[in-house]
Amino acid sequence: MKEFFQKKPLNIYVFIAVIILTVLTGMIQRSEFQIVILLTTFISAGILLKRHWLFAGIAVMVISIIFTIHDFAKMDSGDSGKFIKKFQFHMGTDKDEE
Amino acid sequence: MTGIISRFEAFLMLQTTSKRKSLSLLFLGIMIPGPFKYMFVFLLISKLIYLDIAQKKMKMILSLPFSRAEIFVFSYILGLVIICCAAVTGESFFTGNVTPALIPELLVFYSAYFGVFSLVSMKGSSSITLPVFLLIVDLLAGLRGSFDTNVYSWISPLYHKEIIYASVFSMLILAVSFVQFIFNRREKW
Repeated sequence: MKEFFQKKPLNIYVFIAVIILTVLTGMIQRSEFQIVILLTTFISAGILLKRHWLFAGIAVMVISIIFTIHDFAKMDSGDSGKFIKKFQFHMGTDKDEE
Repeated sequence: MTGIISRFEAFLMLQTTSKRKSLSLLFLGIMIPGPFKYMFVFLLISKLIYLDIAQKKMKMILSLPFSRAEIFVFSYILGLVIICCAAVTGESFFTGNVTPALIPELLVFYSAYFGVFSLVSMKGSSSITLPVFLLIVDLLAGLRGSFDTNVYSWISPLYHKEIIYASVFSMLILAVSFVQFIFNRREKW
């Protein structure tokens, strides 16, 4: 494992991969697949610029933010969303309760 | 062809090893959507061929098996790919869709100021005062008047109201700087 990380990345292949992934990211519309391609492009750029740990860290944060937003959206639209809506109703309109 | 690819790989290795911190931070800056990214593009250009000449590293790079034309073209391609990748990644992350005009607009700005930086550095100046001054002049000159009255805004690398005229203008600057870089050998690198 240590030997793997000590190896220098093959720049020209990473460079070509970055170009192809950039074109793909630009062409594909917003979807889960685009997010996967987006993060792959981002990490490939990190490997090209020899800052893969920084870029991978940012990618992990982005993934966690995306999943959190996705969960909030699910809660708002799904069955559990009723709880939030009821809660907001009771909290927001005191006159209705009276 | 294989020789060019292997030399390009060596050039990539050289540039990304020596400037990795600044290039990666500027990559993150260019990801910001909106016109603010042009400032980071400007700073990125100052980290490419200009920095090598200003820090007098060009003699060392020329001692490696690169020709002058290759150094210029490789440096241009490296910057272009970093800018395109960062801009597309940022736009698609923040807005979801990439506007087709994004890449030509960035290309016009990048080509023009890459040429300006190369010309300035070849004339012996080691500070970015003149390019910054030109950027401010560009910013102010394009602001005045409307589309019909202000002809400069058509060819301005920053405003590029007429993208074809602006691209011709920026390619002209780039071509002049390329010719100067190859044939002007009196500089103190």
